[in-house]
Amino acid sequence: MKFNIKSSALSGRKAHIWQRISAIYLLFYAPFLAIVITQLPDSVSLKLLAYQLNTLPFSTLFEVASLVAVLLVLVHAWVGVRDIIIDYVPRKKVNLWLTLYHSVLILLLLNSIMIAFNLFGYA
Amino acid sequence: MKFIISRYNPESDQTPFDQTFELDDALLSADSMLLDALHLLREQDPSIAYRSSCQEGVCGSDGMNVNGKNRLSCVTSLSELGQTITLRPLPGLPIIKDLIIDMTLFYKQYKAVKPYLESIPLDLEHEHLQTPAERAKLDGAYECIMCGCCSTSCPSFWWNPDQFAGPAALLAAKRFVVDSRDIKHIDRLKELDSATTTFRCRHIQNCTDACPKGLNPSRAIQELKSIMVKDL
Ligand code: SF4
Ligand code: SF4
Ligand code: FES
Repeated sequence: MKFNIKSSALSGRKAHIWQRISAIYLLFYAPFLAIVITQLPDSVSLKLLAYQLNTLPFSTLFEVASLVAVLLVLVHAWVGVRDIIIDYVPRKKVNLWLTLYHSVLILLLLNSIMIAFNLFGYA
Repeated sequence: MKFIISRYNPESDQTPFDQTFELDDALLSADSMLLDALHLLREQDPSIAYRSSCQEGVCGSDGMNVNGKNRLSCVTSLSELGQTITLRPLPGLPIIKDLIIDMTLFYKQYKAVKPYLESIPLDLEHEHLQTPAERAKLDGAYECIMCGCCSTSCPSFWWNPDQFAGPAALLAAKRFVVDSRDIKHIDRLKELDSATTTFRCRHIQNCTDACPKGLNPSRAIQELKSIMVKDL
C-alpha cells in the first residue's frame, strides 16, 4: 500500500489493460446482478437480504462474482479518476490529490471487505 | 473581403489584439488561396507577421487558426471561408509575433521520440530492403510535414505540452515502431509507456480533424497503444 503517489510514476499500459479488463467484467456482471435482484423477494434489512441471497441456488457464485466486481469497480474508478486528476488538477497539487484519492479508495476497499464479512461471514 | 487578424508585437503590446483589414475582391480570383490574400494584406501593412515558404502544402510552415480551425494558409482556398475571415496564431504555444508561434516545445517532443531509424549496421553496398507489406505499414505515418496543426488543436497538448508528446510526435513514434528495419522496437515502446505521455491521448480526434495532409494521428496513437499491450 502506497501513501505517496507521484504522477510521474503512474503506469500507462498496465492501467490501460486493467481499465479494459474491469470494463468487460462489469459489462457481464451488471446483467447478472439485475437477474439476481429480480429473483429476490422484497426485503426490509441488509441481514435479511444476505440470508435470502444465501438461499438462492447460485449464491456462492454470486457472492464471489460480487466481491470481484467490487474490487474491479475500485480499480476502474482508480484509473478513470486518476486520469481526470492528472488532466485537470494544477500541476503542483496533482500528487497530493492522487494520494488523497488513493487513500479514499483503500478505505472503501477495507470497508467493502468488512461489510462482506459481516453479511456472509457466518455462511 | 474582411480579415480580422490577431496582432501581437512583444516589444509594444501587453496582450494580443484584433485588427480588421479590408481586401478588394477585385484583387482576388476564384482560385486564390488564403496565403495569396495574406501577401496582399502585407502590401497594405508590411508589419503583419506570418511564416510561409513552399506555398504548396509541403513545408508545413504556415499553420494558423482560420475561423477557429487549424489549417495551412497556402492550401486553404478563400472560396471556402466566407466573407469574414478570422486569423489567429496556432493555439497553445507562445506567440512570437502576430501569427508566428514558438514551436520549441513541439520540436522537443518530436525529438524525444527519436524520429529516426535505429537499425543493424548497414552494408553500404546493398539497399536495406523491406517487403511491400512491411513498407505499406508506414503509409499514413511518414507523410507528416510537421506543421503542428494537430498538436496545437489537442487539449491534452494545450494543458501539458512539456509532458504529453502530442499527436505529431506520437505519429512519428508509431512510424518507427512499426518499421520492420528498426531494432529498437521494444525500447521505443518502453519509453512511450507512461500515463503522462502516450496514454494521455483521450482520442478526442481534434488532431485528425485538423491535419491538412489528411493523416489520422488519433488512430495511430490507438494502434501504438495496442502494440504496447501486445508486445510489451
Ligand atoms: S486524439 Fe489524442 S492526440 Fe488527438 S487531439 Fe485528441 S487527445 Fe490529442
Ligand atoms: S500529423 Fe498532420 S497536422 Fe500533424 S504535424 Fe503532421 S501534417 Fe501537420
Ligand atoms: S507554405 Fe509550405 S506548407 Fe504552406
